[in-house]
Amino acid sequence: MANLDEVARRPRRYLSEDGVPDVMLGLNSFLVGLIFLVAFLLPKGSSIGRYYIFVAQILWGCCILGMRWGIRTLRMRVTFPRGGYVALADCQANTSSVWALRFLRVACVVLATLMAEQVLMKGGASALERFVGPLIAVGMALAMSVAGWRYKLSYMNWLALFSLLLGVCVYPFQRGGAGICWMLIGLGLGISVAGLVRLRGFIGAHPMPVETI
Amino acid sequence: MSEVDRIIHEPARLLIVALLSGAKETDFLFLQRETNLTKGNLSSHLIKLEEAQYVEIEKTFRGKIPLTLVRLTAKGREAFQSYRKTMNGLLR
Repeated sequence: MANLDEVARRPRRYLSEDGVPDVMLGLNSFLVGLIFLVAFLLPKGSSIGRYYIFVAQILWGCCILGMRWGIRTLRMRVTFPRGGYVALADCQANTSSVWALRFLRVACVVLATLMAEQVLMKGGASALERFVGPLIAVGMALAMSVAGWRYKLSYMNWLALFSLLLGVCVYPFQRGGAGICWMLIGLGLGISVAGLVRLRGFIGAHPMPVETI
Repeated sequence: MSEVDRIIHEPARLLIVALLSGAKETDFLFLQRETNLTKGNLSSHLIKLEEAQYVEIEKTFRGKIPLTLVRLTAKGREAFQSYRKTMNGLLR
């Protein structure tokens, strides 16, 4: 019955074939990196910098909403008319784990705000500052390798390698938060390009049907 | 072999039901591409599955284009699980 399991996984796999989530996720990462990089370029402790932290977070939220809208719109216009429409079943997670995930998200936003405030307003100099960018690069590379191995996506391994290379490049030039921003910008570009290549392949493999039932 | 559900046991219908088990709903085009069946053939298999109340078929529109949505019913999902269990038992 192993083949039936493989067949049942096809709808999920189909939705990752088009590269649309990669394009939008990469674009989102690129924009978020750019938005927060501006915060590091503003003079530390200035009133404009203080207000910009909140503006940046609003823009971050807009980017996430824009990403979701973009995925939906691109799929409706490009993917579904070519390869067919698929809606996956809702996640079967129990209520407590859903609440735990929500709590984790809020905690992450609060933590990011506090960290940004520390770094931007009080300087945030520490011995670990230089290693933040490379550490993120290693973390991303590990996550991508695991995803690539689990879902058999070879391009993920290339992105993992790219992430490590970015970490090496960021290490001597950028410290702390600015290093993370450059990582997000570089990685976002890489993911978007990988997504565009997959999208191009998908469009080539799935020509628009002449007539639709 | 008398316990085997003959509606699901047919290879094309088994493929359709297995595909639908991995999704909330799909359209006709997706099923056609994945099964490599002709429109007529796929339609006749879907009608048989619908008669057995294993799938629900909803005809709607996306803009001006007709859209046929297909989803597995609770009865169909149960029948598929039961079929897999039976076959696993027979092949063991």
